[in-house]
Amino acid sequence: MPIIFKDVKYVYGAKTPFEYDALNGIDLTFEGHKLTAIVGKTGSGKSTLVQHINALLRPTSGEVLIDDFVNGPKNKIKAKEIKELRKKVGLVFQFPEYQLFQETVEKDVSFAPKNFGVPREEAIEKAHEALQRVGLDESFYSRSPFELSGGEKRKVAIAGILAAHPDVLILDEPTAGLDPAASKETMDLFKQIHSEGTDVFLVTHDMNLVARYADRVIVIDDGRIAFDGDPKALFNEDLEQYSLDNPDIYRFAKALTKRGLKLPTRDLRTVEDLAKAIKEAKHE
Amino acid sequence: MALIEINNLNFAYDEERPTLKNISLSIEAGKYVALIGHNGSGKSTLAKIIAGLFKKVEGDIKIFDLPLQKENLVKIRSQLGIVFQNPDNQFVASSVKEDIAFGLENRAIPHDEMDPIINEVAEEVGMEKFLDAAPENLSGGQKQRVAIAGTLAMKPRLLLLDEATSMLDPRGKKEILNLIRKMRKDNPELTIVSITHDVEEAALADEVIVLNDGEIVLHGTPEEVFAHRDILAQVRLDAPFFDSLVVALKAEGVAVPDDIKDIKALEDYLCR
Amino acid sequence: MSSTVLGRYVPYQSFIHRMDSRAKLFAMICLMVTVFLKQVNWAMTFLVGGLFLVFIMMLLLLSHTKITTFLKSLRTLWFMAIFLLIIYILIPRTSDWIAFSIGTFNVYWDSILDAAKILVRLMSMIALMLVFSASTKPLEMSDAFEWYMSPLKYIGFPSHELAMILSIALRFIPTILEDVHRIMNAQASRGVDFKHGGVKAKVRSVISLIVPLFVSAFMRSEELADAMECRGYDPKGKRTKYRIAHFSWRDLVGILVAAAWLGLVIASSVTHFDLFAVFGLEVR
Repeated sequence: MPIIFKDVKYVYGAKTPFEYDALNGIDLTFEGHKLTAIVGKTGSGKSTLVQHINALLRPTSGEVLIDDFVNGPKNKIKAKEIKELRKKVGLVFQFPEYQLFQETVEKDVSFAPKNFGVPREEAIEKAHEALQRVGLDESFYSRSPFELSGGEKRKVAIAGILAAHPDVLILDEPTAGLDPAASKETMDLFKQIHSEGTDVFLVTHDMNLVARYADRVIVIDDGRIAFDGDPKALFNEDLEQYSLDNPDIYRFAKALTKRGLKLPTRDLRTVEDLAKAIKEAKHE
Repeated sequence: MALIEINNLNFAYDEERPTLKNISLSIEAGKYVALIGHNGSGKSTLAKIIAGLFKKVEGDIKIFDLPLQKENLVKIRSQLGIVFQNPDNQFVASSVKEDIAFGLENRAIPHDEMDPIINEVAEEVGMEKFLDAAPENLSGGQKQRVAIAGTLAMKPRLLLLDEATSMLDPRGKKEILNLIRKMRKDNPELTIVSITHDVEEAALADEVIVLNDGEIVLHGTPEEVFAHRDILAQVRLDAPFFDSLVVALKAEGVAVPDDIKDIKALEDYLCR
Repeated sequence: MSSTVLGRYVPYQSFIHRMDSRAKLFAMICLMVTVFLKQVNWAMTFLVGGLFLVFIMMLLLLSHTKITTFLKSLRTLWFMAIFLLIIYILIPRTSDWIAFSIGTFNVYWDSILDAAKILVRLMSMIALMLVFSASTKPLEMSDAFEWYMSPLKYIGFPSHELAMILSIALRFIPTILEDVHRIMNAQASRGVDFKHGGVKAKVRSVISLIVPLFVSAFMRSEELADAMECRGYDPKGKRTKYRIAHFSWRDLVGILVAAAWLGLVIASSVTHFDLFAVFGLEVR
């Protein structure tokens, strides 16, 4: 789904003593089917940026076009249109387990599709399907979400977004607080969903995730776009200037290159890729 | 001397599923010990037991040579600092200096002695410029540093970090790890037990204890523990980047001698 | 990010900021009492009320609270004003001071002036509270509370515990507001419309906010209790206090000014003093 930001500016707490510019002149075009990472330090404006995509925020000036929906500063948008948009754009917030509230897992997961006008029976079917995707079986359907473990709650919350079958999926720090195995499981699921045709946006400050999963990376710094392009190209830059860290793999690759070991220039997504590259370099 | 001595500890929130099974371990004074395990492995429960937050604990626990019992609790807690996971939920007061003072007030430290202590520990954690700042204006990492300062103000012998970095961004994590390094240097007597699922942090420790389903599966130096890649994979933990890379290199047929112990040495070796 | 400006501490080092919170509270209560004292006639009521408003405006300036902040917080008062006016007009009266008549229904000046009087009182109170909350840290407020309540300790009143609860509640207001904001965004992304819809939909959307909010608040309070216990907090134990407030000349000045005003207004009230009559003016 094409998404276009046109000179978007967003001011927080306008006309109060606490006013500041969260976004300042953002121009962006998302077309084609890439897994896009949006990175930046805490407070850089990256979460503010994505909240414009499902109209949780309206720009102070400029506009965001999401398919045929126009999110501008003053245009009248009907409640129905907003609902349509949010059905298409699913947003998984950081620590989404805090949004659970129904008495059963099944009810909670079917909540979004029901809100978006899917008939009850079908919504429950979609809920079951979504729960299966995140790896929770029937035994969970009638349990209370509040008695589950932290990891299971997270899965229920994610299923609660997936059940609405969004065309665009925005993930705000989806792995925060998860242990490594659960992080990988979660990210692999999103990768899979992406490969099935959903546009995925990953908001994160974990550069290892970016190296591993992203096809395009946008760096937001102080409410402006500081970098937009290929992850590999970004990792060859000085990331310190954006208060970000290099992924482990690239940090090591860079160190080797600096000392004269010529690594082949290609995407390094995993430790195994790096090992292969080192082997090739050693054999030359 | 063993600072923490645990023998045959059993604990269950609900009778059916024990959270901790037959835990025995001893932690020496002055050591930095990482307790790792996936979410739900029981590692945080263990921390809370050591802090005396649970009543029905089966087994023999001695902390600072004192049996962990109700009558010793005040004495034990006066020498033990604990920092929890959520930076917001342990910030009691409305400013940094008042939060650091909270523990001092509880110990009835005279008013005139408070400010020098507050200034000293705030400087130790690098928060001396934020003494008047309110919690809502601080980053997660800064709040955790204040929490650590609050414990340091009590001059503890044991610092317990219960997933203190897991809710932080990479900056915050780095701040805390650097602070741990600094505290180790400034105060070698301080024993630090860090409960974490961050293996990179565990790699910095003197000892690593791996917990799975309430049982200790590995205990040793980081080097020893991270050599057991199969067991780590079984208990759903990663190896640190260095160890993973060595394994991957070996799989590719790149020989890595056994005496290479860290990333810098590996870099030197590969660039020879 | 909350947009509530009313009741927010604005850090500054003004005269009023530097007053001891106990003295300030005392002075504020003195001033507040004056608002409710009856004067001999309408003219005197509005003269005293008007003078007082001017005086509070000076306090606002002195405490570096922006007048616009005050005006903003008055916005919600409009509904109240209209509502009051209608109520007072509908109250049957026996008076000959008719403002105008609608058919056989008489609208009396007394009704209008009564409504206006209440409005002036409300404005004065809001302004006073604004001055107090903008210039006093929440913790200082709870300190003042504890101090005034401390004599009750001897009859078993838990004044320290209450003050602690109060100060923690105050400390957590911004945190809880952030929770509200986050949960509303998360639920809105799941298709909840907090603005529109019938009663049933409204109830449902409020539940989707309240339940997670309570769950999160309970979790926070449990963790906080653990943390406080581990840090050696014992409400019954012997504690020292870090914040010790000292009375200064400012407090004396503040209390004297407030007490003087209170004295004047009381005197004028009991003696039925009529300044206008002194100048030979006959007023109602």
